[in-house]
Amino acid sequence: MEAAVNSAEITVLGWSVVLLLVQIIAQASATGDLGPKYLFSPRDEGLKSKSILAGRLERALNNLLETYPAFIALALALAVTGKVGGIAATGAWLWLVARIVYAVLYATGTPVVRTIAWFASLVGLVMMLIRLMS
Amino acid sequence: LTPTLATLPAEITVLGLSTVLLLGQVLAQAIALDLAGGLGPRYLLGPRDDGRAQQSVLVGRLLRALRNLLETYSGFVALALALAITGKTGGIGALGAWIWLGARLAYVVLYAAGIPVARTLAWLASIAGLLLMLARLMA
Repeated sequence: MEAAVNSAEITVLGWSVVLLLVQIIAQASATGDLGPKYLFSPRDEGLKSKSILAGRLERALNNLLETYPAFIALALALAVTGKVGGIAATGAWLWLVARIVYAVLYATGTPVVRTIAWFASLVGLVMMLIRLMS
Repeated sequence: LTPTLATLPAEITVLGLSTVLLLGQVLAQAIALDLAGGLGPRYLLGPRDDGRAQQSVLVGRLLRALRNLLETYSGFVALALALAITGKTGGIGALGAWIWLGARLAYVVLYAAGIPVARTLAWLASIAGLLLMLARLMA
């Protein structure tokens, strides 16, 4: 198990949790215009923040959550089966970097490159999948 | 220890295939939105700040099918990995994993085609697959 614990896949998995938490906290921090009274309440009125940044961070977070379970599944499956390293490790790092770039580009409203970063994150997942299934 | 494909437990094989299903549904939804959503490439490639609603029935179905998959997908990932880690692979756990995958595949096809009732039965079958895996894990 030592080798698996120290593998790139598990290191990236740990950093992916940091990315997730940062995106959650950034998104939550950007909704300040709703006011503490509403935010601490059960939010029954379903108000939406008028902040453009909050909207972008929310969409970036939702987009991360669409494929994040697949990344977790692949990283852990590679570790469990001892298939760490090779193109899977490269794919894991590619996925992480692409997801960081994606979130930054979404927050800054940069078009086109954001979609390319999203595609790169998918390529990273496919590289991990190829290693797992081969 | 370097397991070959022959020694990959069924749960891990299905887990790998499940990521193909998820990526397939994500891509299908995205491509359908791009081609049929009526939003235009300029809006889609931009930060989408206006929150425009897309126009296609098919895109709506694919989106709802993806949301539905994501509701329980983490449960499947958890069970498949827990079975592999604890060495409890095979038996009704492996059967449940295959049932889950077949049912989720049927579900998204039926949803996209707009077929009622059978879609809900496929959803129930996917839940039954998870329960089989859970029963094996906790036994």
